[in-house]
Amino acid sequence: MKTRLQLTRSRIEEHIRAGLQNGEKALITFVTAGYPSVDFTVEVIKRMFDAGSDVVELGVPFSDPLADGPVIQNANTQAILSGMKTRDVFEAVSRVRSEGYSNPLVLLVYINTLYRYGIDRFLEDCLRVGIDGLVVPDLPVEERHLIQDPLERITSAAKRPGAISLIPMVSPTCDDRRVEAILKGGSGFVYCVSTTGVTGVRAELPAEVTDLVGRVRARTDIPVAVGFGVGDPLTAAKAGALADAVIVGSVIVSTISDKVCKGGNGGEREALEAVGALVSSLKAQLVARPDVAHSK
Amino acid sequence: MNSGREAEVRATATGAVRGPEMGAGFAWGNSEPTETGRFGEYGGMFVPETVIPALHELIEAFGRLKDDPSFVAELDHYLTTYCGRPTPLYFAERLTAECGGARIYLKREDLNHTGAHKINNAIGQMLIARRLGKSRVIAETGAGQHGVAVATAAALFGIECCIYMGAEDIKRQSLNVYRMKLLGAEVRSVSSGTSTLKDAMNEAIRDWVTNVRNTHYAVGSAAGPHPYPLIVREFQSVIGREARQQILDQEKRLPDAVVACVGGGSNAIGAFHAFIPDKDVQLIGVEAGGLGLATNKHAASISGGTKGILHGSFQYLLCDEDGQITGTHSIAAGLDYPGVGPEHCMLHDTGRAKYVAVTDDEAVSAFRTLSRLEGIIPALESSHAVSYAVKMAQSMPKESIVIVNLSGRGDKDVQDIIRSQDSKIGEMTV
Repeated sequence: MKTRLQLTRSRIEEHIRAGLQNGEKALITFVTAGYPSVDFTVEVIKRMFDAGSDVVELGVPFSDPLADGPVIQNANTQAILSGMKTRDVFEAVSRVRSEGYSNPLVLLVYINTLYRYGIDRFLEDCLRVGIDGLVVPDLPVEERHLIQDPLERITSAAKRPGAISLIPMVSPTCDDRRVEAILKGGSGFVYCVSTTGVTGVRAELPAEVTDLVGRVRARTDIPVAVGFGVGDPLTAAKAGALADAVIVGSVIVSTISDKVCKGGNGGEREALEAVGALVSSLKAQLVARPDVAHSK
Repeated sequence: MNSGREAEVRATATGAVRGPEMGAGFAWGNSEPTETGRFGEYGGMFVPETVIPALHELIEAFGRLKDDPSFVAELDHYLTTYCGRPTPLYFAERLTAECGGARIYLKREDLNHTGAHKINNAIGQMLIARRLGKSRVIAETGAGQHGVAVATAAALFGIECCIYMGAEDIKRQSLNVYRMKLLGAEVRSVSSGTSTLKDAMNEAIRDWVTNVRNTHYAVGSAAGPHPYPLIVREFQSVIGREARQQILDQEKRLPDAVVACVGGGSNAIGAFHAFIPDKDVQLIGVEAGGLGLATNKHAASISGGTKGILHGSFQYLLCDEDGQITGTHSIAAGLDYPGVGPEHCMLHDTGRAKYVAVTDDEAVSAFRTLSRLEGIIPALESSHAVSYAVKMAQSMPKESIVIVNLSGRGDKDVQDIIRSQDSKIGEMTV
């Protein structure tokens, strides 16, 4: 991985752009923090990076995850039941960073989690452990200043402006004016929600996402990522043909739950292997020469 | 005594139907939230981007329709000829005598078609859905009263209907589940989280995020993202407008207090709204104290909660330091909700309204008292308000007046009471 000395620009964007120059689309992989344990979370993040994931999106467990389908809901519930706290998420990231993994890491966090933890404290902890971006699925542009303003204040005070991106999210229901409003001031990548609905694997990439990606591209040069519903290498390839990056979540979480539930004592080890294999196969679809991914 | 009582009843009936300004006559409230739906600091639109355009569509449509004479006339028509509005304001003579204090009046929302105030909002929202060309409507329900009201309105207008209900609530409100099915609605059981109203609302929002293009989400509480707290308040404010005129007709003066139960807060905001400018009228919201505020087994968001964001709105909320929504408890399924509407939060902070809590046991006791003294079986939700009103009336002078919003009837709760309560009630009902 390239080292980044200049911290005033989004590391996420730089990383994705560097890949694009080599003919690679980026793979963004999601897991729920603390599912099934903090130790596993640290290991699975490392394994996903090793297997070719460009960016890891780590879900902070919340009791009422409105934007998520049953698979990720269940992971949230189990993580909370196992005693996962918001502060443990920062601890997990800190451990990953201390082992030399420098790829971009973003948190998926619901607004109530941020608010209850303390917005300033949350952002300061993000800066401290090396979080590069935040996806807040229930923070529309109308309310974005609640995070954007303290984010700018805190990163500027730390002399690291732009170090943390507030990831803009657009949906097929957004008209052009709304897309423009959402993109304004955004950085990192644009999260294009592929279809109306919640997270979860779908059989096909919905046709409407093509139109959405086109409308976004016409208005920004921030890298464009497609998420929601991408659950197999073929769909990943299709999404990759369309966008700069592909976000994959539910299929990884369900792979973990399958192995952990059925695997007995060796379940977590098997889950790591299975996630590694899955991530490799997804990344292989996103590089110009598939052998590049396998050589990692 | 009897003849006096009859005269009082006649006066109530006369008052209820007199004057064009009474009718179900629709007049909109005038306290508007900000453009992003803030009542003070509360409210907002904290929901996934996918449904934000639908919220804007609703803001625009409601803004237009509320001043559209044909819409107002249509709503009026259904409220009077279908729902049975205006509902009476009834002087509870024996209850008053038993308390020995303030004169207690009951605003009889239980006499609405389908047995609760919920139909006021369900009809209004269904008319909006129809004008927006939505072919399908969804709703969340706790006790099942809002679900029944929406299923009813959907049957009336021939719109496909799907109701989300917590698995726990389906168990304790089986009668309402059957009613919804009879009305042609699909009832989807929700067994995520705590399997109650909060989780039903989560699932309804997820459905809406998925089917937003053809589906209207008819929120039943004065909660949720903007503009729902405003829309629901406006459709429910008919309660307070009628009650205000009725008490002026019957007593020639305003009441000293208006008391209503608060879960999400739709009946309470509806009862309070017309009285907000009347500074001498105390407004009292009664939350579900469950097993007691000290036990953590309650649903009193204002009395026992902290600030947070759930279901699109910044509000008083029952959650832990990590923001996880904590389990709630109330014997009344319709109050078993960890949040409360943003306007109530503002009214609490400004001191215009006072919020108190009543326990399960106190509510059940009021349920029995009202049944025996007045021949009115109140919903367990409304029993919370009755309980507090009885308590406060006892220490008030005899000339003072308390209006209780009797938001719903208790038929739905009888089975549950027989099952869950001690043998005393079992014996009493035999």
